Amino acid sequence: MEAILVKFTPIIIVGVSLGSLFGLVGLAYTVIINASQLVNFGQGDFAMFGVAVCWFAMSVLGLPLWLAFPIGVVGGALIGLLTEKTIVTPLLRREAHPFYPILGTMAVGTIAAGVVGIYTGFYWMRVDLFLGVEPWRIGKVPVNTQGALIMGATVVLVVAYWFLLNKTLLGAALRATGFNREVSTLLGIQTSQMVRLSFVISGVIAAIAGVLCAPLSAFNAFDGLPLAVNGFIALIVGGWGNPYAAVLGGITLGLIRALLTGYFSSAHAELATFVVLVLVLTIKPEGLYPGFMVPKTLRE
Amino acid sequence: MVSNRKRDLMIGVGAVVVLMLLPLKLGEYYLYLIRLVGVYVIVALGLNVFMGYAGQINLGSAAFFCIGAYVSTILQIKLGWHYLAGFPIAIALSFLAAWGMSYPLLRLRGHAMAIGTLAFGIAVFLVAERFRGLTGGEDGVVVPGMALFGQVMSGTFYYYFILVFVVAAYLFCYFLSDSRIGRALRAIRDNEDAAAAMGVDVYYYKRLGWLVSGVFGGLAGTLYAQQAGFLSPSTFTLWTNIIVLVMLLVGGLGLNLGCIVGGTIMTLLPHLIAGMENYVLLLNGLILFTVLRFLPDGIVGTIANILTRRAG
Amino acid sequence: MRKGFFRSELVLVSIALVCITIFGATPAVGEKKTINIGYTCGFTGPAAMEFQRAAELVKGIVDEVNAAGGIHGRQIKIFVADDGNDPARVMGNLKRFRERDNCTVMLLSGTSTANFAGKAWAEKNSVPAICGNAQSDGLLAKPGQKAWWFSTCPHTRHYIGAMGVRARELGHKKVGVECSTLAWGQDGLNMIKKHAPKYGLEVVGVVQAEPKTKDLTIQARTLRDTGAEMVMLVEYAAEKGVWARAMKDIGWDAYVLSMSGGMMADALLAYPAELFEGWEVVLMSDISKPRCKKVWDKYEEIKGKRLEAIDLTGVWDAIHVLLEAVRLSDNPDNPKAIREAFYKIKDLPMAIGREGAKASYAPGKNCTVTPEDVAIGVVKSGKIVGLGK
Repeated sequence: MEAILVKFTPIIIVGVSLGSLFGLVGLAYTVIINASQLVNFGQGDFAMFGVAVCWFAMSVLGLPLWLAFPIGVVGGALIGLLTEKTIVTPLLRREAHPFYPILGTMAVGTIAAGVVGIYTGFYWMRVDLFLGVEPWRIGKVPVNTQGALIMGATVVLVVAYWFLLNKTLLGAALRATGFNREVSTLLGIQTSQMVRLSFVISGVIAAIAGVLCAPLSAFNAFDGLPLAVNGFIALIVGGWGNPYAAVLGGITLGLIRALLTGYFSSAHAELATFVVLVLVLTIKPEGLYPGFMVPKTLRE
Repeated sequence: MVSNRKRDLMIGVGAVVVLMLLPLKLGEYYLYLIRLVGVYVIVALGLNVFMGYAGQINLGSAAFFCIGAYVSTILQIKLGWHYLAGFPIAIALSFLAAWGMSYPLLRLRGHAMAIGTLAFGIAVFLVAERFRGLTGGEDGVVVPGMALFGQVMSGTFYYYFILVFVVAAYLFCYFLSDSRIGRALRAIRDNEDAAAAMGVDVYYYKRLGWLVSGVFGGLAGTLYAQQAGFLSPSTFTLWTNIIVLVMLLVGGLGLNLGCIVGGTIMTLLPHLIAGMENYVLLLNGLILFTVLRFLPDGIVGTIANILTRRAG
Repeated sequence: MRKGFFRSELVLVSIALVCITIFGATPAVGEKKTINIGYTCGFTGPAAMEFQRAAELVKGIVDEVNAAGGIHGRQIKIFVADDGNDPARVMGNLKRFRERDNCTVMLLSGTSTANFAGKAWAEKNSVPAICGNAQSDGLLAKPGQKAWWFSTCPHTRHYIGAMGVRARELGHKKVGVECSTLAWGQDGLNMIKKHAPKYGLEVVGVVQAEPKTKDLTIQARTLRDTGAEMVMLVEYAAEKGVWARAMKDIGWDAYVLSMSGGMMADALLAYPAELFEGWEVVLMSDISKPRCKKVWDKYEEIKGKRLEAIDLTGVWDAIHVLLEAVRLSDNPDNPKAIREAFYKIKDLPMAIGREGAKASYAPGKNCTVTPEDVAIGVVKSGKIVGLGK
């Protein structure tokens, strides 16, 4: 029994920590979906941009991590704002098919990746492990510090987001805007501001996720896209439009990958993610946990 | 309407004649570029039927491109078949794959369809990359030359071979656009529920559009592999799906001529700036941004709008 | 309405014709007088830094040769392009170099993946090509076959041999292998399995890492559980760091022997150095040898800064062999003649190999290094130093 536990626990920890990462990106997606019914295909590049700004602050400006991290987060907010101002709102105003602003977010993301890529020569933007190289030890089980930070940040962000949505007036305005834009406008809510806010929040969350995972494996300008894809899959697998389900979906995926790696082989873990996605889309297209933590009144 | 057709036919014949004469003037490298453009135009035309006419979303168009390319190549390498024997098999298998994937994917709407097709595209790419025994993996494989009448076929042969199919594909889409099927597809694009209410079998026509895009993709794939002489999965990444989409948008979604214009621009772009490859990503993003923001009807669409306004 | 459409399509068709005419009228054909070399290099991709350095060195050497009057009084023009380690782009670059730029001999700085494509192209189009760093055994010419693709660095079998020699020296028997799922990793893995018994080694476990994976702790644990005493790595730089962290996380202090010095150097730039302390790595060149220092001196001359990068020696040898072939050929404008010239080169001393090694260039056999010639280095305080053997 102990042998199984010793093998099993680390797998769970790895699965949950990596899965939370994808869940965070999925959460970032839902912020925008819930305010504007749009999908931000540049989500991964938001994260990459946050990393780039943080890296720039550290390596070029020489700032310590505790300063560079918030600066990176501000970078994420900025790119969110930029996306919204330059392409999303103009296209929304034009009343184009929602497909167009979605592609617009991808365009801005690509431009960001292109600029960062040219500046860095597509080389790695080094961000070191926050708490150093040695792992923590809980009894006999070593826990990777960065993974623990990711899990901690996920909990904090989910709680914060829940608080924002359910306990503040701003949150209520955000929810209302996503639920029905016309009625919200009639009620005096500045829906365009809400959309803007949702992009900024999404940028912040994405940047946090990005900087947290950058020390895990050398991060370069191309690495936004895989994060975006995995985060989106987490969202679909978890439950469309439901932020808490997205996080849970990410964790589910992370666990599946970790279990596959631990008990079979790591060579096909990526392919497995897509198989799971196709299965979910075929068998339960609304996601595995669509109603998770959503109050009954808001369920369709 | 009739004189429109006649005029279009004259222009088309003129363009084809010019293209047929080009090999006399241009070197092999430029013929290679035009062949590439031709291949991508075929993919774009197919995608245009599904996305432009029918208004659906397919973010995995590279999947069929990949399947077509690898099937004909693997048949040549592993079974020793002649390219022309493998060619119809590649198209047939693309058709079957499209048919098979139509069941899970076409039931989805909007975002779900986008991610579903995207996942399919990435999955096919991963199969090509990871199953080295079958596809040569990341290293790629050399595509054997094709011999006809005792001679190995040259780049110029492939140029004409591809030209034939580009013309055929274009004509197919041209006539499809005005036909009953084309109108049904557009009805679905404009309002799916209304179309259903009017008696259009939505699922049937969606699948038709999807199959066209699948077959065109497979055809383009097998042509691409053979004329390039080398095949690796890097040609069919997530990026390729986006680029093909951008081709449609740059030219003008729903316009066949737009596929040609968009296909030419996006295919030639990385080659024109050879020496500054770092800038490809940025330029792709800028083009997409510019088209979405300022030219929503694409180049061809905007020009057509301007001229219509002037004439009308 | 009719008139408007007619005009728009006519306009567009004319634009297309104009573009094509421009293309045709101004091809950037290499000037007749220069000798043209095509250089496709992996500026972006898994070994970007290494190849960027290589390109700087090559350009500097070519500039020097040109300043001294060129070869047979003709200037050398080198066309450089990035291929991002993408075999399709390698093909595209070589095609353009040959057909548009009239290059008669090619240089490659890329991983084995890029070189498989380059070799295939060279053979299909009968143009000689040389590379200073690709290692896969599949690239070597078959005996009795005349090559179009040449290399000046040791290949996987030499490296594996060196690793086997070293492991046996240290008394290890049970080897665990961690390798990339991509080409070079799989090739290395097969070679290790094949040659391990020769050195008294047994491969007890294998784990594979997908590129850009973020965690390898599960794999590390699996490998440790197989009873491996040491780990052999055939892995790209990014994943090396992930693996190093994984071993630290599970507290596994085994001896690590990594196959690529160039990748290790890059990994040291991307991750904290303490992760790799004590790791040993196979080097393309013995860094204590004077010839290696000569390469570094030349690089400092060109770039103005001192960079002690092991991998520069491979490309140094490659460009020198290439220029020698051009010099010896009957007709530098004829690729076949240049290829014949490769076979005329005898005993051109090379920058690789251990002290006292007889490494030299032999066409067809490429580099004639034995496993005992290949040098081993160790990571100390973030730098790779020789073992002093």
